[in-house]
Amino acid sequence: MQALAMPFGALGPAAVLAMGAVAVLLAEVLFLRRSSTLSPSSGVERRARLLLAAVASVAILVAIGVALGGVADSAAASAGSPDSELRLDGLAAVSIALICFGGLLCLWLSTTYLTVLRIEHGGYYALLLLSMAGSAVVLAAENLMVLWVGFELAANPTHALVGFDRKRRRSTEAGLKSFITSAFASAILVYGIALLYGATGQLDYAALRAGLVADDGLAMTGLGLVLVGFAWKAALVPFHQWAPDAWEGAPTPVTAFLSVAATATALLTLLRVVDHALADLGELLRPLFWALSAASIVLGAAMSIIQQSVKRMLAWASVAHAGYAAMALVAATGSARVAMIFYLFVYVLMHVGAFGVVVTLAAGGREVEQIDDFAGLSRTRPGLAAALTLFLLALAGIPGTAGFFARLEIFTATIGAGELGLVAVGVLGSVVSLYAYLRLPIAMYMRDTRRQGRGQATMSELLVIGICAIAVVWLGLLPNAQLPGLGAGLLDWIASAVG
Amino acid sequence: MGGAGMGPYVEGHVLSWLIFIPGGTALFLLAVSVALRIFFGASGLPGVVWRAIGLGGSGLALLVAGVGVLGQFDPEGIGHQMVERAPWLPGYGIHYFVGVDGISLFLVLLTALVVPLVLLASWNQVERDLASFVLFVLLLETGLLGALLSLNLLQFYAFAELSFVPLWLIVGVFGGAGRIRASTRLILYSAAGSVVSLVALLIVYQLGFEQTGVWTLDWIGQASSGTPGLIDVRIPIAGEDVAVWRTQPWLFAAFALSFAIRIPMLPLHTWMPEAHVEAPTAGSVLLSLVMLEVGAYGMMRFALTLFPNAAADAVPLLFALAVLGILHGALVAMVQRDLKRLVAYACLAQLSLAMLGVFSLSLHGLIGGVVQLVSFGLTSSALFLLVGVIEERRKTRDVSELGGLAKPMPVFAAILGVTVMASAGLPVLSGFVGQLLILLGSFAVDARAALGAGVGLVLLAAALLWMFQRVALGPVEKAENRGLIDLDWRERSIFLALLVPILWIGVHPNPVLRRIEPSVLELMKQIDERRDLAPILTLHDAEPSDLASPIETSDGDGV
Repeated sequence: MQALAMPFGALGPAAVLAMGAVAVLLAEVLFLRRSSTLSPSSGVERRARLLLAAVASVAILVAIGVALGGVADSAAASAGSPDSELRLDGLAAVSIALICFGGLLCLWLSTTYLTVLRIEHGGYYALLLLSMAGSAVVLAAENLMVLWVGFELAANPTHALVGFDRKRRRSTEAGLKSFITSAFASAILVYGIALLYGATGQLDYAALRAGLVADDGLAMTGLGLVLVGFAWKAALVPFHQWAPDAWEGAPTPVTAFLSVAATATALLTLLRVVDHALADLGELLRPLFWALSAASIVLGAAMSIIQQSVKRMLAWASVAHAGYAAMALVAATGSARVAMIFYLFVYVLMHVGAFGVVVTLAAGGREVEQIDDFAGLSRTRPGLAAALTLFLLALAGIPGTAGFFARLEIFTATIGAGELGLVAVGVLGSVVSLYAYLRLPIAMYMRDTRRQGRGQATMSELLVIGICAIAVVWLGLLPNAQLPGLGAGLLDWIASAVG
Repeated sequence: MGGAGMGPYVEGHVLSWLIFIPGGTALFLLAVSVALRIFFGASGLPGVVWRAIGLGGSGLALLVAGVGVLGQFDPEGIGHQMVERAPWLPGYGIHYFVGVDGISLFLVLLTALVVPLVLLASWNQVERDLASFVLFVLLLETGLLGALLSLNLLQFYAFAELSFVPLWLIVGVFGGAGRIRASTRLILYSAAGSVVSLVALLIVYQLGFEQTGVWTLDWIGQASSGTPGLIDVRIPIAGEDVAVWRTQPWLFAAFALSFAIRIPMLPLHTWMPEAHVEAPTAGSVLLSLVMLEVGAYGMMRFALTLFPNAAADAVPLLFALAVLGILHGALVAMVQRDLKRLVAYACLAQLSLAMLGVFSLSLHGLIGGVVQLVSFGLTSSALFLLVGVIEERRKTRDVSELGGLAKPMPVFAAILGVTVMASAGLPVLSGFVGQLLILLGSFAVDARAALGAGVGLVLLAAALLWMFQRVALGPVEKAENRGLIDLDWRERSIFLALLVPILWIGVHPNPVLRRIEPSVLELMKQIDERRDLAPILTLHDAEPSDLASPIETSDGDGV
């Protein structure tokens, strides 16, 4: 009956997001019911659709506010309810804010794209919000069952979103693929949870931490299965196979959202679970994370070289980046935690920004996504080409971009933990993936013009690309400068919130 | 909490002005262009405006370098002058920290001189995308100056990269037919080197924290407040009881590898000839600047000083590579038909020679190395620009297509002659001073190496003079060469600006040597002191747990 006593504050962000989803659906029914979604949009309808996006945006912004407001009294909340299933502590609040921020950018990226591909439904925004609500649950969970429910809520809407472009076979296929594989992963995860429960009789993180011992075979099997489930959702090698197909087939804003909803959510949750439930098993977990991280970096970098599709290339890049973020789990220190959160924040900025450019180029129902399609873009669309180059250089970790400091923090923490071998793998991977990323600027700046997409970028797309670009440069030059509203530099702020 | 107790440390802003004037000009032009596009629907500022204002910006930087930096520089001063330090990443020991000493002074002047000349020289060569060209050149200048003047290793690293990305674009966008392959190789080689040195740098960062309790990447500390710099960090030598990757041989290898790729030294030079051949003229000139300033200077200042014991052990190997580089460069230069490839291999020989002087770690060798670097910067720029002149007029760089150019182009031939002689090290020209000192310095360390280098220099002189003979002397055999137009006033003034310092250093090197010497002595003192730092991390002095539990120490790292 603990669930009834659950403080509303901890469920706050998820509740706000879920209510936002309902509000979007209601608004669509009330204002847009009569019009077929396939008909060309009139001015009135367009404004009404913007209303849906606005409602969803407000919901996300409120959720961010609720989450960050929770940081202030997190100490009181955690003291008052030591064994609640959900707790909005500093780590949860920062993670939820990160996911919501990324989701908001993806939402703004979607508005025009949906119209261009003629797949606009209010359901899209509702699914986006529901998935984020699931992330908000899973990121605040203190109990494995709550975690599982949250994961399902986060994952299932994304399958619908991946297959949202029903008329395109690739999209449908990708949606089905990601649904089936994810269901499989969920089954493994819940089986692992069951074994853990069978072995220890506990589901709460804190109780598990006390009950888990390394020589309990049943518990360790369960733990292994749980970790497999996590690795699957984060697309860490060797549990990554679903990712490239799903990422390539999904509508591009959804692909961007996957980097937030799948990769970042899974890694942040893993960080929380390791921190709260598995802290005493560090020596046991270290080689596992080491292997996952190294394999992801190597394979992700190697595979991204040979891709012709930009979306697929970025999907493999995301596998590699998940590997880099997982380095922090190997290091497992306080500074590593901060480094990981900072890394994921920067990762979201870089990926969403890069996908934003791809989205902007989507032309009349056809996506511009082959690397060859970008040839000569610096002449026809100099601003977009420069922005995409910036994001790719950031992904490669070139100084002057946020990607550099993100990687620097991760490497420093990993070296501090004495894991030079893993850093060496990371270095190797970063050179290999630099080549993969450079193929796009080479096409854009050094080859002759080819046919490209749509004429004019819309305000919302420019806003997203602009926010990402400014943030990537800003955090690349002054990663810890005082930010208005936070009262501290981003790194310090994360450090103090995560504590 | 490194840096927390340190206030700003400022002796003046002149270096910051120097660093940021070119890049600031570029960003200003970019902002105006973007504003024009957005608010007036114009296609941005025209390229010629970019070039004019860009030239003004880099000219202003030259003025600041000449009047502000050289004028205020105290020749007797020890250590870095005109220092400025400001917090960049407080709590992490990462500062914006600049200063100039006798070693970097002349390299800074060289950069400030060459960049405006490059813009001038590209007058007729770059027409398409002129605006981007100017943007890249100016950003590159800021990157180079920032790296040269930097006293924080992360800053050095960041500015060095800032110079490489524009260089990659200059080669890749404005180069010849094979530009994409060449520029990709250029940036991949350099990135591979730089990430390796970044990891080594982070290990030194960690070592410094474990020893001093302060996170710092500053090169020198501040004596008044007792804060340490990397120069005060003792790095375990081979055989000490610590993880092997924390010892000097491994860390030195990582640093040396990174710098050796950029210099480049044998056998890591394979990217270089192709990059020069495919680069536009401006790209070649800037490439040789980057090589000597990020590569050779970094090796001298940081790699040799941080890891003196490992460096001393590696001297035989480094000597061998340098001598082989001289011989290889000279011999291969001899048989080239492509003028640019010829000059590129001559660069390899010249830079290897400079490194020979540096690796001798002797007073003469180091001073000679610095002078040789400066002289190399001047002569190689002039040579690449001269090749560019031919290419612009004749549309070919094939030596066999030329010949007897002294008749239609007497001024050109005279300048080429002087430049070639300066490169070959003939007396009263700049090359002579450096080469003499380097041979002196290296002879004292290893006579065989000095002998090999001497042979290499003779071969190099032969290669260059033979090239001069085939290009400029003899009868004009090809009809296309008869009507060639000699240098116009713009071109003459460019070469005049390069020949004056070449002659000055050759005839009256004392003012230069006088400013370099105190700094070289200081560098040698630092190397000697660091070499003799007592082992403090032995099993007997410290509990093994101090070494084995970095996790705890890094928890309190002030984040």
